[in-house]
Order: sequence, then C-alpha cells, then structure tokens
Amino acid sequence: MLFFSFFKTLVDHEVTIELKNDLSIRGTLKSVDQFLNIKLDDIHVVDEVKYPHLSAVKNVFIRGSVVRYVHLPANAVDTALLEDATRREAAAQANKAK
Amino acid sequence: MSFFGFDTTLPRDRASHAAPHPKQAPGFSQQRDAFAGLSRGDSGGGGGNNAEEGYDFEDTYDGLGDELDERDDAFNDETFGGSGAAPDKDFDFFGSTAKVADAINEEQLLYARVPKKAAAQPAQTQQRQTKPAVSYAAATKPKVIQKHVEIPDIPELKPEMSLWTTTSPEATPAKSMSAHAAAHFRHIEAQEPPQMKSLAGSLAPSAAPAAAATASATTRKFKSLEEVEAEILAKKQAKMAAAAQVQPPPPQSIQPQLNQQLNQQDGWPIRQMQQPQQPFPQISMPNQSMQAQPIQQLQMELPFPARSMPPPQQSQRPPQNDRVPDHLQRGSIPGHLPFQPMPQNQQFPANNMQFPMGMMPPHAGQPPFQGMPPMGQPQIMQMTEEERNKFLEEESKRLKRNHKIQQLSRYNGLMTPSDKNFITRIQLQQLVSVNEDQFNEDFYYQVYMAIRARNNPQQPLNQFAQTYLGQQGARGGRARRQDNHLLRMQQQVQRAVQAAKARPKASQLVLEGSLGKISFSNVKTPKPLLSIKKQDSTGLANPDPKAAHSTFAGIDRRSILSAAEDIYRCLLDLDSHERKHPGSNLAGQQPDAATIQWLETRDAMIAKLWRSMRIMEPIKAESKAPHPFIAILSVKKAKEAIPRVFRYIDLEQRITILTMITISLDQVDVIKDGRYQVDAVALSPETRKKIEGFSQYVLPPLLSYVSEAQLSVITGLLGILIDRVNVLVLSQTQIGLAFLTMFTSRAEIIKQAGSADEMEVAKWTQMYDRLFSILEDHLLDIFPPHGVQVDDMYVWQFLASMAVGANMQQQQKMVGAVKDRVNENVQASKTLPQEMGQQKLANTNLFLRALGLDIDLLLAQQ
Amino acid sequence: MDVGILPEPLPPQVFTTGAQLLDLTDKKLVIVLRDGRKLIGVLRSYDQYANLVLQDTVERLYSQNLYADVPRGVYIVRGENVLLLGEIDLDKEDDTPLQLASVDEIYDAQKAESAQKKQREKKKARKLHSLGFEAENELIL
Repeated sequence: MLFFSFFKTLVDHEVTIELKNDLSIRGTLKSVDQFLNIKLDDIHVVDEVKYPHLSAVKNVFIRGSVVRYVHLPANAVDTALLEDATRREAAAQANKAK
Repeated sequence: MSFFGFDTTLPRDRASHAAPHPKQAPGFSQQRDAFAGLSRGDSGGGGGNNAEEGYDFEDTYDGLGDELDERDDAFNDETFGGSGAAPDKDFDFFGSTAKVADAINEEQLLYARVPKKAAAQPAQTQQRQTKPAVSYAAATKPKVIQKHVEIPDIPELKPEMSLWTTTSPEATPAKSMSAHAAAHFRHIEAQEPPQMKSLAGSLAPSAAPAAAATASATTRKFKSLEEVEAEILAKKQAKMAAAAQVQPPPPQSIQPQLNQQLNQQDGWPIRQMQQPQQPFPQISMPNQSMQAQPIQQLQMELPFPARSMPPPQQSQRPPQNDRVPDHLQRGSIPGHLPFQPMPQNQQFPANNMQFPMGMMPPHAGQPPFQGMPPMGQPQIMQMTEEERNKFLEEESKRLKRNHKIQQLSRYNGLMTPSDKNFITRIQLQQLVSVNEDQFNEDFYYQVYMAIRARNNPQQPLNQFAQTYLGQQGARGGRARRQDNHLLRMQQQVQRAVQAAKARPKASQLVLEGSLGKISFSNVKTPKPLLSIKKQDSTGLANPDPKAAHSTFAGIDRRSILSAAEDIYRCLLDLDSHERKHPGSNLAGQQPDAATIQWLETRDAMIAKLWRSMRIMEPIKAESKAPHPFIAILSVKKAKEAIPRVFRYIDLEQRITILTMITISLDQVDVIKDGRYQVDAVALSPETRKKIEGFSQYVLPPLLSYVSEAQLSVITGLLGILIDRVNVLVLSQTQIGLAFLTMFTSRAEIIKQAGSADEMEVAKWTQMYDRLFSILEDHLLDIFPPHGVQVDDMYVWQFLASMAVGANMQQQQKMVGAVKDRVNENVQASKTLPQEMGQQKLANTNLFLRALGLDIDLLLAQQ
Repeated sequence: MDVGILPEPLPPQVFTTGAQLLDLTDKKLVIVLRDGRKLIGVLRSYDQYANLVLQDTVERLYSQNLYADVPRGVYIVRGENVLLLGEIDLDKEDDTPLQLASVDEIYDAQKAESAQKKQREKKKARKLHSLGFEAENELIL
C-alpha cells in the first residue's frame, strides 16, 4: 500500500503518466485507488498527433496495470518520510512472512 | 444482445436478428425481474401475469392487433417468461402501481381529449394510431418505419426525428412529463406542420410523443399519488416536482418549429453523418419511458437490499425522478437560447456526486440547462444579419450539444447512487480488512498530510510530524538549510560577543586605535604596523584525499549501510511504540501496570537502539580503520538519524556520542575531505553535500547539548581535540571550525555568566591559550582560499568566538592576521549584490564587534 | 507523546475505483483497450474492478487522418482489458481534422499498421533483451 499512500499525497499535482504502449499523458492527478488506477484531469497528450482518439478528451481514467512510469513533481515528495515509509512497509512485510 | 432487457441491436441489424432472438430469449427470463420496468416497456405486455396489467393491456392491445405482428408478441412472452415469477418478488409498492401507469395514462388521455374532440370515439381511434408507436415501438411496426427513416435521402428530417424521440421517451407513460413538450405536441397537432407531412412513413413515431405528451401531462396526479402511496418522497420534493410540472407556456409552442428549421439550416446534416447510431432512439423509446421505474425496481432486486437501501436512498431517489423531466424541459424548450456556453459539468443531468457515502446532497445532480437566458422569436427578428448568423450558429451548436446530451441521457441513472455507494463501500471494506495497521499502511499519506497542515497553528503536530518537520522545512533549498544551522551557531557566538561587550575591557580602546590605524589610514596599501609572518599554507601536511578515501574503508559500505538501517529499524519501532502509550498519567499518580510495562519496553528498545549505534565498541588505537560509529556516520542516512536518536537517549549517552565524535573528529569524513586543495576554488560537490548533511543533522543536536554543558566538560573536550586531533587540520575545515566555535563560544558564555569557579576558568584559559598558540600563525589559512566568493560566515564566527576569549595581545595578533581579510570583505561587499554584500559585512562585523569595534566605523572612514 | 488527531483532508472513499468512475458514468467516453481498439460509448455501470458496461458503443478505427465507425451496441468490458477511459468533450469532438472513411478502407490500413508496429516492438524487445532488459511480457498497442 506504500505507493497507494504515496500517490494520494500527489493529488492536485501535475504529473505525466507514461503507459506501456508509449503513450504519455500529462494532467492533474485527481485520484488514485488501491490498484493504482489513476484519474487525471485537464489532460493533454504529449504526442498528440499520434493519438487522435484523445484529442477531444478532457479527463482520463488510466488502468494502473498499464502504467510504465509516473513523472512526479520533485518538490511534492518528502524523501526522508518516504524512506521511513518504505522501511515500515518492508518491516511489515517481513513480519507477515514470518 | 438484450442484456438489460433493452434491445441493443442496431435498427438495421434488427430485422435480421428478430427471428433468432426468441430462441435466446428464455435464458433471459430471470433478468426480466430486475428490470421489470424496462422490459415491460419494451414488450408492452411482458408482465401479463398481473391482473391489473392484463386489463390494462387488453385495452390497448386490441387497438393494435392489426399493426402488431404475432411474431413479436410471441417473442415478448418468451423473452420475459410470460407469467413466470414476478409478483412475489415484486412487492414494491410503487413498482406495482407504476405498472398501472399506462392504464391511468390511457384513461386520463381519453378524458383529456373528450372536450377537445367532442367525442370519445375519435379519440379512441387516434389512440390506436399513436399509442402503439410508443409502447411497442421496439417490438413492432416502427422497425419498418425505422428502416424507412434511415434512408439517407432525407437526412434533414432526422434531427427532427431525434428531437421527437428524445422528447418522447421520457415523457411517455412513465411519470412526469414536461408541460412544454405537451404544449409542443398540442401545437403540432393543431397546426400539422409541413415537416410532419413530409415524414411519410414516420407518422407513427412522431405522433407517438404527442400522445405520450398529452398522456403524461395529465398523469401528474398519478405521480403525486404514487408519492403519497410510497411515502418516500419528501414533501418538499413533491412540491418541487409539482411546481416543475405546472408551468405551461403555450406561446412557446410556436418555437419548436422555428428551431427545427434552424437546425436544418446548419449543423444537423453533418452531425447526422457522425452519428450513425442515431436512429437508435426510436427503437428504445419504450425503455426510456420507464426510466424512473427501473431505478426503483432495480433497488429491490439488489442482492443486499436491506443494507444498500437505507433511508438516505429514498432522499436520493426523488431528484433522480425529477431530474429527467427537468432536463427534458429545459433542454427541449427552444425558447431558451444560449448566450454563453454551458458549464461543462452541467452537460449531463447525471449525478456528479463526488462522495458516494451519503455525502451527496439530494440535488447534487445539477439540472443541465441552467443559465440560459430565454429569448423569444421577436428578439431574433430584431437582430442584424451578422448577429443573427452568429446567433444561429451558436444556437445550432447548442442544439447540437443538447441533442447529444439528450441522447446520452436516455438511460441515465441506470446505475443508481445506491449502486455506486455499494461498490464504494465494498472497496472501503477491502481497504480496511487489508490494512490491519491502518496507520502503518498509510504512513506516508497520514504523516505527509499532518506536516502539510502544520501551517495551521490549531493543528497540534503529532510526534511523527515533528520527526520530519525539520527535514520538511529544509525543502526550500540548500542555502536556507545551511543558514538554519549557521544561524543557530551564530546565536551562540553572538551571545558570547554580547556577554563580552557587557564586561568592560581596558584593552578595547587601544585595539580600536590600532585597527583603525591599520586599516583606516590607507585601504589599498595598509601600513604594516604589526609584523605578521605569513605562513605558507603548502607547508602543512596535505594528505592526498584519494588515499584518505581508501584508508577509510574500515567497514565495507554494505555493512555500513545495513548498520545504518539497523538504527532506523530501532527508531521506527520506538516511534511506533510511542504511539501505543497507554495514556498520560496525572502528575504524582502512581503509573499503572500498563504504563510501567510500556516504559520497560521503551527502555529495552532504547537500549537496543543504543547498541545498534555501535558506539560502545572499543576504539582500536592501532587500527587505521575508523571506529564503527564514525564509519556508520559517514553515510547520509546515519547523519540524518542522529537528531532522532538524540530524542530518545539520555544525557550520558549524548555526552558519549559527542565525545566519540570529538575524539575521532579527524576521522570523520567531513573533516578528512573537508579541506580545500591548494588551487581549489571550491570543495567537491560530494563533500559539500556531506558537510551540509553534517551541519544540518549532526551539529544541531550536539550544539544543543553543548550549550548546556558545564565548563569542565568543554575544557575536557577541547583538551581531547588538542591532544588527539590535529587542530590545524581541523581549523581548515568548516566542521572542524564549527566544533572549535562551539566549544570556545560556550566556554565564554559560561565565563561571562560567572557560573564557573575560578579553577575551572583557569583550566579553560590554559586550554584556550594552547589552542591559540597552535592557530595564531595560521589564522589566514582557516579562510577558504577564495573567501570573497564563498560564504565564509563560519570563519568569522570562529574568529569572533576566539576574539571574545582572547587577551589583548592575542587580539592584536588576530587583528594583524586578518585585517586584510576584513578590508577585502568590506570592498567585496560593495561590488556584490545588496543582500550578499550586507551578509558579508554582517559576518565581518561579528568579529569586529567581538573586538569592541563596529564595521560602521570602518565604512565611515572610507 | 501526544499523538494528536491526524488531519485527513480527503476522505478515504475518494481513493476508490468507484469514486474515480463515479463521475464518468452516463458520460460519453472513449475506451482504449489493451489490444489497441478504441470504443466510444456511454458508460452505464461499473464495479470495483473497473469492469464496465457501455451502451451505444461504436468501435472507431483510425488510420492516419481517416477514421471509421463500426456500431457495436452494448459492451461489457472486463476491467483488465482496459487501457484507459477518457471523457469526451462534446463540444470538441466534432472539431476533428480526421475524415470519415469506409470501414474496409481503414481496416486494411490498420492491419498493415498494426503488423508494422508489432514488428517494431519485437525488434525493440529483442534489442532490450540483449541489453539485459526483460521485455514486458505482453504487447500493449
């Protein structure tokens, strides 16, 4: 749930989602769910000419499983906190494994 | 194909599908119940098992007999299982009454027509012609008509058709119906517009809405009756519904025509091409007519009716019922013309609720066509040509969109708010059951939000937020981070300077003069009043940094990192343990068992943390490798852990850490790599980052401890430095100087405060003199080689703290050594940007003031 | 010691699939499937796995500046096959530089394009593999 928790803090930030089919969409992150499905608002497609089917689209719901990268705004990430969150996650998983 | 009971095949496919369909039908008989309203509308007689219904449909069917194919009736029966199952399940009050809706509609329609047509008989015939098209459009004749309509020769008629169809569906027997549409119909009926006539075969469908219109116009009573029966709708909403129904504007009835004509002029034909599925509406008309009913019946069929239908739903339902006619009304009134684009979120009458869990206000779904200023025909006439064109363009655009919306909204609400709620609830439950430790699972979000809320002073910061607050605050950038630390150091130095100034010194006047002479007389070529031996900085032992690096590998990096992680593991466990505190005890009260146990656990955890730091491992004098603790401290994350460790450990442990670092100071990476190379303008970025990290994370907790330490401790620590560490090397590094500054300024503060006895002070003075004698000839070397460009604040801080404790002779030496630097800085401050220049002056002034001078004197002289 | 009450600016239900799809229901959407197909239809229902029910669906085929529509009717799409859903701006959708063409015309062109793309992806995957990258185990168009 670490990434779920993490992405929740990026709501209302501009992100770029790169999908596994190379399509990149930039937009305002509106919501994320436990499957890391992502809802973007006010989107624009990075290579618009190549993807005419998205020309009239204003917001998208992206299936989490097809996301390759998420480009984040660096200043919206608390690295120290994220490190600790990661440690906690790792510890929790280690406990579960026991 | 008809998964939800509505036929989804395209019209042109339909004819071919009609035959095979019945074969598939039986399997669908179960579905029928869930969408009884829909299917009933679809089939016309699907629910024949109901006595009332039987009566109802006999009434209408008779008239249809000739028009309806037997085939289709059979298909309906098969599809929906004839007298299969429904009644026991279908206990819904409204549901069953709604089924009589048609009957009541018919009756009221008849009644309404009597005065107009003067005789019931003609009305009846009209009935027969029109009604079938509405109720059975999907199953029967209209199919043929449909095909006909589709002929591309008359595309301009299609918009009209669709207007009709979008108007009619919701208006049909269902429940409510816009008065406008009714008026519209009446008008058309009376005038028989030419378009109607040209619509050769499509007479039936176009007349259908008409009948429907009249029907439901008179059905209003039925609706409120249903409301009363069901006792579901709030009174207010009932009123609203009633109000919505009572606004018949007969004068507007002429406008539909106008608009239809407008449509035909532009926009529509194009649109036509892009919407191949357009004929659709007519087929599914009947489904829609039942739109509101399925919603309720659907609810009854939900697998968890009791749970998913709490009272809130009932309040949610009415808006849904009302919404359809609402939007219909406004959408189809041509008299309401747009001058501004519609807000996007109002495009659909769908419910735009953000929060499904009962957070939705009853009327969250906004009616879609608000804010359109009404505009009558006369106004159009008054326009200029240009305006008119523009207006027509906008109008066509709007109509186009409205048309689209109407098409899309035909099945709106198929998924009810309660359905959506239900799904959301499932997910929330999943989340809860997955997360046993909610806080741990959502740690990042929770703490991040807590930190972000720190701007709000009312918000008490929890312990977690405070842990990360320092780091968070440092986000603004490196420079500021540095400042934070330096400012703290400066505060201590300033206090020392302040204290020194408070104590009158005989030497000050003399000094003032000497410095004045030196620097004031001639800035460019100062007279060397004091002979200063310039020490060649290359004369010092200059260890090769790379060699130093290689010797540092006392423990391999991997084990260092894992050791650092050990520290963090202990820290996080402790953090979590803090959260489990059984609750604060009142002062003086005996701690209860839980608290005692909690404290014991805590102590054990702290002991573990302490062990994880490896600080108690013996120092191996013979080994070149640094002490494990110092080795661990070389990684950034370990430095970052120090302030957090300090929060848990006791005073003694703090001294131990400070002592350990002091003893091994020349082993610490920031000292080893912290010296400027001979020609280097700056340190390597890597080293700078390390220094930054050390200043930011390690120094502050040490400083906070030192600023409370006794003089004996300070003397001892400085003694360690002088005895065991190369102070000259230290003095040429930022962190080394920071340590020296820390000790000397603290000692001076204690001295000034007079809280230490003479023995202590004497010991300190002795130690200070030793330090001074080591450094006195190398004072210029402590500056970074290009000090004018770099921030040399830490150097001035050190000089200031030294100057405060120095005797007159020592002070003179210092002045002699650094006077050039003072003047350089003063000069540089003039060329630097205002803010940086001021900063330089302030730094320098810190030293001057320690001597009892002020930079203003210097500036005044120049 | 005081843990305090953690602020929670957004309620947890905002972060559910349901909430994400909520305001897309009854809207006209374009659905891009993993195999590259584009469906345009009205979202009528969904569940927590983002399985979807679409109504009045047409499949739209694209090839360069041409497009064609194939009416499809009602769709139930299993969530895993979805790449993305996009809400169509009704005002903008008609301002497209694309031209309507016949289905057959585009179908052929598309076939060729897709074959080409598959080829390209294969090549790319091989190259990546040689560099030590494991290819995504499935081609997403």
